[in-house]
Amino acid sequence: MSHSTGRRPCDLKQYGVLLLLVILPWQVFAAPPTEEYKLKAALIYKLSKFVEWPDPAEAGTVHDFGICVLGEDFFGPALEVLETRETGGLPIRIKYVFQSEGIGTECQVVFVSKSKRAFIRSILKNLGGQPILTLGDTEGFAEQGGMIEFTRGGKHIGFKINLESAERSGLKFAAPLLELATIIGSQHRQTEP
Amino acid sequence: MHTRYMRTITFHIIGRLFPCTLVLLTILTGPASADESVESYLSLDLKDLLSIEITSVSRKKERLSEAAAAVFVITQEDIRRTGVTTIPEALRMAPGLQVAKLDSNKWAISSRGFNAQFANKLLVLIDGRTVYTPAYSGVYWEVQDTLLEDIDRIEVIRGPGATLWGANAVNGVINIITKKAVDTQGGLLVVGAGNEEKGFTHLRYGGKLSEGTYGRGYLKYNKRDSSFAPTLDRDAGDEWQVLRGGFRVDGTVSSDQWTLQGDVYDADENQIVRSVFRDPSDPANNPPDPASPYSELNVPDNFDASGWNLLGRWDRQLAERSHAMLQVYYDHNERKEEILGQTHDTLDIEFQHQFRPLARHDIVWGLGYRRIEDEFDNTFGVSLLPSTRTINLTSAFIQDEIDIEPETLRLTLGSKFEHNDYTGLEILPSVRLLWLPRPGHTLWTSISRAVRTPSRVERSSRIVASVIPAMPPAPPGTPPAILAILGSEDFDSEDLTAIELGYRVQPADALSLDLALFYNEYKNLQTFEQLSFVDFNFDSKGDSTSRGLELAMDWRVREWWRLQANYSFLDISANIASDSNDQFSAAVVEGSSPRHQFYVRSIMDLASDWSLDVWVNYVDDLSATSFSLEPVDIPGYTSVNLRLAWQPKKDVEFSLVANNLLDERHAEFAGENFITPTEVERSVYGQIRWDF
Repeated sequence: MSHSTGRRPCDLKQYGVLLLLVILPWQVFAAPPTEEYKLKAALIYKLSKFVEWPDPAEAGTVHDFGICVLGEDFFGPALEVLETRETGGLPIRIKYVFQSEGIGTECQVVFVSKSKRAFIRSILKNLGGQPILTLGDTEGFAEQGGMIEFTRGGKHIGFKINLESAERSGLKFAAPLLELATIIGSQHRQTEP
Repeated sequence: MHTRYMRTITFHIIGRLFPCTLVLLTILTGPASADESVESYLSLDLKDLLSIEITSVSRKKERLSEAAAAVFVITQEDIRRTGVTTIPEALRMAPGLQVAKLDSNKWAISSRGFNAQFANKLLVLIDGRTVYTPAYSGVYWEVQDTLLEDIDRIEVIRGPGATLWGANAVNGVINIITKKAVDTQGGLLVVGAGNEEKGFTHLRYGGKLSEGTYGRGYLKYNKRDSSFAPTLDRDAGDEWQVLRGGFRVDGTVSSDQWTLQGDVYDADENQIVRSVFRDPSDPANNPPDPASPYSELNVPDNFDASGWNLLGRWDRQLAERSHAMLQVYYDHNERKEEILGQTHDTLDIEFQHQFRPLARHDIVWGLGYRRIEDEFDNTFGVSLLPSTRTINLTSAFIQDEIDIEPETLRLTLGSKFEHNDYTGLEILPSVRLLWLPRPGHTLWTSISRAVRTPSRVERSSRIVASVIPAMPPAPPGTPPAILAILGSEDFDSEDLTAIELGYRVQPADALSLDLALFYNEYKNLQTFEQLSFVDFNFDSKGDSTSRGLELAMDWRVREWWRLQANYSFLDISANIASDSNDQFSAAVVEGSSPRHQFYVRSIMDLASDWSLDVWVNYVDDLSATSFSLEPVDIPGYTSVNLRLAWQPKKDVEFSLVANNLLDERHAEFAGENFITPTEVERSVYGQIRWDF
């Protein structure tokens, strides 16, 4: 047994097979979402249909409807499916941001990821007053001032709405939405239109 | 030469088979589309969406934070952001573990002390499959691997876990859990190279096989450089390469969930054996070389380690709060080293049932059977008699979690009853108490018993420690003396009683602390008794106590900056029985694990597409790490490591990883006598990751 024969040169054939695998024309997409987040992606779209945003200060400055994910993205490609659709006559664009500072008119919806759990309060403070629909699925999100919180009751997804936060930002929620939600943080019961 | 051809053939078979399987899988099924289900959801109205049922994905994980045990979880993000390339290197993140690199392809890993090349008090599971080697109750770490990108998390449980996991879960349990196939859909390609990581390619592809059935396949090749051998003043001749492939399919049938998974690997490894003893009674070895009689020094050993496994699991929801699990696996592995060849075939069947018979009781009970067939290619240096044997293990366990005060006070009582062929029935009870006085505070305490049952080596081996030629005044022709350690019936189960106390607190939203304290009392630890001038026996005359503290901190300093740190303190004292003549064991028990260990990691998102992770690891000095007659002192060391990553697009990432920046090389551990001591070198590698 000799030491020098212990090394074996790389087998190029193995790499050939690997390369072949790679260049096969597979559908291109990124990390997969869980069923829960696919459902949440659809819910974000559906919910946005029941929300009315105030008109932008300078007309014509907003060209698309921005749905922004703040923090770690658990949706994967599920949200990007929405890019083929429109809300309020504007094409939906999905954006990913890592910090709440600097979020401006490019986001109509901000989904605050669970990864930002420790910073929810300061994030909501930063976003407060702007016409941005804040959504999240961290426990206590709505109590801390988030507008819509996805909740889990057993196997179902539900949601809580903090009306006060929405009103302060000039957003209006339509009645069918309020009927399905648990309402918190409002002094007065919403009167039916 | 025959074995080399065999190896090459195996390499080619694996190399061809797996890509073909992958391609077939893909062509047959096509990729699962996230679009499909989102589109179908979009066609429903809001009310219908809210009525859709989804199954919980994180229940087990949530429960872990409330566990009445010292648990640390290494997440996929931790693995990715430290750029570790092996499971042992990932384990350095966990408090209370001792991780030391012996050479390029060997690690000594233990929990709460008793570290050694053949450390034997830790249980390691990959997706429910036990991966320790019954020959010596330890783990050959270099072949325990999977696609690291597909690992969901590694749960590190310090302290005994025998009540649930059985014998060998003495000082800790390491649970490596891979993601479900549905969570690894699509493709992944990782390629990289560096000075120690000579080159690697990881490939995975996941697709939807049918409604509710998802699968993935992976293929992975790693080639690694040698380390440095100070005694030879050159490279340690321990370079290695490994090719590995595997698959996982998860499906649902009504409310049942099933999993079928498997792996196959072939490692081509090298080592330099310090001395290989030659049989003096064999004429071929006579007359002996006067420089090193009957002992060949620094023998290069190019050996093969390979294996495969197949595991199936069936989960059934019997009722609202009752669910049953059946798991069966088969594991084959073989290893042909110069000093010993070994083959193991393991069949394992486990059944578990969890239910709530009364409002406040959560009962889980189970039955298990394991059959291990071994076969050894004996050499003069190491032999096991008989060379082949079948060992049976049967077990039953029951555990009751009682909510004394719902959501506040929980008592867990349980015991495992395990029968093995060596020592018969072992009873492994534990009592745990968990108290959640208010949100953010967890207090727990436990008392438990664990045993490490005898291994094949301790019961039936013969290990040659030295061959000493006869010297004058012995008459010429006197045969040389062969010093050997012999397996013995005197070796009994090693026994531990452990008392633990823990406190977890979240003083602020962004800060959490986890403290664990323990006091361990060991009885019947392994000793070596000298029976005559030449013969030593494995025996059980060692007692020991150990105490320690582990503190882990996680602080989200800013949205873009997170700090994690942990500190581990360990104090072990050995007490060998007065009727023992063992001269070695006490020093090793007391000196093989660091008294102080410190780990700190900074995790930074520099910008939305740049991230920087820096971690520093301090390990205290070791005074004796092996039963070697030469004194081995390993100085303490500090290693500084960093990873810089750039993610220009969501699915592409470039990263650069540098390890051990402070020194050109350092020693971490010295293995047993026969293995060449080595030093870990500074290393750098770059990689590209593409999710497609």
